[in-house]
Amino acid sequence: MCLALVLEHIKFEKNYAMVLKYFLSRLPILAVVLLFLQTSACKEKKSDYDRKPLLENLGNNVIVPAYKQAQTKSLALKVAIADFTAAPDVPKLQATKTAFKEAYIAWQAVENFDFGKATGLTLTLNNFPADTVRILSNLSSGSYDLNQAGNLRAKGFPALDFILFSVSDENMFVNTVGNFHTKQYLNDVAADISNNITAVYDDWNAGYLNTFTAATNLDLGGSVSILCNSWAQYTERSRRERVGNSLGYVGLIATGNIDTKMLEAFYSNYSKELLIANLQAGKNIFTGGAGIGFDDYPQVKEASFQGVPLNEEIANQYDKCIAAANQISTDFKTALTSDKPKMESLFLELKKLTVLVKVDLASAVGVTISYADNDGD
Amino acid sequence: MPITMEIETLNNSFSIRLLSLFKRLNAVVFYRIAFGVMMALSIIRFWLNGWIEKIYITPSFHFSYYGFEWVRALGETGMYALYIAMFLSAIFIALGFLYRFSSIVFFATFTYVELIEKSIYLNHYYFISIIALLLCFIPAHKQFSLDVKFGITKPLEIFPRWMSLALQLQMATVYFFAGIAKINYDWLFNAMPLKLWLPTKTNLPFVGAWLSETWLAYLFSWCGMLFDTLIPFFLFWRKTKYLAYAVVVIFHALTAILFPPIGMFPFIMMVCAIVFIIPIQQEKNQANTFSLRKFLGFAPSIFGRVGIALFVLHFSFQFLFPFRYLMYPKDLFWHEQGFRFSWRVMLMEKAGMATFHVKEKNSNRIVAIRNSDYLTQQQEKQMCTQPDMILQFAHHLAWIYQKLGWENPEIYVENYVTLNGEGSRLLINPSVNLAAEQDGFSNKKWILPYNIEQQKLVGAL
Repeated sequence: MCLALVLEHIKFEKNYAMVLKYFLSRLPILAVVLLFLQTSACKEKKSDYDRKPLLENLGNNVIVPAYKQAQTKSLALKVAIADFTAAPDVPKLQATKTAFKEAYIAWQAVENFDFGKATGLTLTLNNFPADTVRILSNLSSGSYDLNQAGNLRAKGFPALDFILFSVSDENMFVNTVGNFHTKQYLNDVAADISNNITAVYDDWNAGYLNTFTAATNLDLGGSVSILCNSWAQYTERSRRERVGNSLGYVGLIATGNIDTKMLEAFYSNYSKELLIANLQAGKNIFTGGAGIGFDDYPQVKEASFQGVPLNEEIANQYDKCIAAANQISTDFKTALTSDKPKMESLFLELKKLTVLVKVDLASAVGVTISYADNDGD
Repeated sequence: MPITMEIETLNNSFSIRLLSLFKRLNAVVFYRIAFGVMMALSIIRFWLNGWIEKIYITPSFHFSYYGFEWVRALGETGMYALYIAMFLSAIFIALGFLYRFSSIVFFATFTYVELIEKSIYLNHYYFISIIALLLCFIPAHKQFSLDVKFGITKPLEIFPRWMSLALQLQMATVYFFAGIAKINYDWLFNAMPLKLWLPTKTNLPFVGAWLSETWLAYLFSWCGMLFDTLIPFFLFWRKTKYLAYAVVVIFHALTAILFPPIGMFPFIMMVCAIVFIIPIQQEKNQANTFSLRKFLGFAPSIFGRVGIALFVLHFSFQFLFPFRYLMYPKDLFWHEQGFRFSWRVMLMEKAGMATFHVKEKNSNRIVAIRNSDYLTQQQEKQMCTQPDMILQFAHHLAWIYQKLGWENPEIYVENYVTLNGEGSRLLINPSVNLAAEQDGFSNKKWILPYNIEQQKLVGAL
């Protein structure tokens, strides 16, 4: 009886032990195979799918230089405004206007990077159309807090655009700039722009660049995901706010109500140059300039858009958008009434670009924005 | 004398005691304990991740399931109360305490919570709901339980075969259907979407470096298909079940490493599959003969016949429901009609964007909607690729604008979607007023065909 029990125990144990032994005995073989594959794969394609070089190139050669340029130009703008307001004359006003244009163009190259310390910066520095009523009331009262939410459209580049350019007679502007608190306001807005951009630039140099290039993971907190989301969002903004709104589009539906005042840089008429600068900056993110960009990303080459590899399609689409903008011989304000079909075709190209960056690229790169479990569908 | 000594040493050895416990433990009882523990852990994880709040409390709008629109989120107190009840009942299931009651409470609370929000639909949540339902009918508390200890129920020596069979069949269904869902052109001959997914994991230690190899994506695709389709048979077959179980563990460990977002699923399957390898106790002298009485554990009375009917009905449904996609046009992955509740796991890479417009009939009033004003990131992401959710959101917008005083608001959407790295295209006909369309099981005509040429024929492009 007892013996039978023992035998049963042993038989039972043997069953499991045999299975276990079988696997344990094969473990070394498995390990050797894995090791072999590991080393051979390492030799051949080490950098292929490593996102580190991509982030390093974008950080070092695209983003930080763009901020450096924006920082320099915004500082120059601040100085020009200080000079002009100290002793206003027409040459200094013209120098200020040039500095404004250069700073605004430099800004376009960093607008896509609305993350990290720069989160929300676009809302603060380039929120158009300008709230002219609010600006005039600030000018006359002289008491305002630029950090107030109510002043989001009363500062930044749109505010300078309005103040510096709405009076087309330059002599008259020079003579009247001393009225109200205009000088003080110009200086405060320019300082606000310069300080904000400098703060972000300093942050990138103080360690954010390292944080950015180190976060090679693809999920919510990863740099690729953060960059792609912000970039896609601002690509869509170009379509909607730089062209669509003034053309009378509500979302993607045309109402036919043209409203030139919705344009970026409505008073200075730099809308076209700014859009082109913005698109070139976007293309630069995609190609990585001379270095590694998203067009080198294997899955972006693997994916296709109606038969064309996605990396070519997106680069082409950027070129098409820039070409469509260049097709417009006048400024956007004039074109909206005299050359509307060309504005419409620019809008359509921008719409296609938005879909490519927001949908096709994001999917190919593997950016996930979900925070809960998923089945992968 | 030596023999008794031997027994004593054996009995004192921990491993032998564990083995003997393992041997005496019935598969069904083991399943009950493992299930309860896993569920309790899952609930803790869900809670600690802050998902109760993010998914059920914060959002102002929920995507409900067709036919279950009456299931509503219960507010902060209500939701936490539900989760506490769910957690306690899971613990009670593991302990076998007030089991009959606890299993029903667990099934009810878990299923209710899952039905609130469609954007987090997961096949494994559906699986858990079904297992919980089965456990309501299976007296898995008749061994190793507090109920037995306290004399609440009489212990059962031999568990009838139908109990473990039900659990095994349910697991087999999951694998089998997940397997045949993978028998499609894109999965097998384009290695999609694994070709897109695997290279994103190259920063994993050890395996990372060769995940970028194309042949590996093909290998994984074929192995995944073969594994899912065939593993149930090998698990059932006495001669191969141990080996098959080892393969189950390796397979799920791999998926857990490669696809962390799938969460608890691999672990739940690993543990639950043990139900196949625990020796089934059989009545002596009847070991190899089949009889209905033995299968049921009692002579087939009227009650027993109803039981058999339910058993057959359940598994017939389980086997037929995943095939409902045959009633819809082709390109199931595109329109997703008949996609859910069919064990289609990790099958496709889909992403999209949707721009909604509200237009007042007979006036010029028109607005474009910013989805993030109404939806969470997760909701928006899921909605953008799934037509029925697009429709639900459209109806929600129509309701909101009616409240705002608009007369007959019409809802239009421009919805671009990419599937498995193919170029994005329109999913929903942008000229259809979604406010006037109804959800249901019939084919949704406002979903555009996948084929670009056909889209052109419809006039959508």
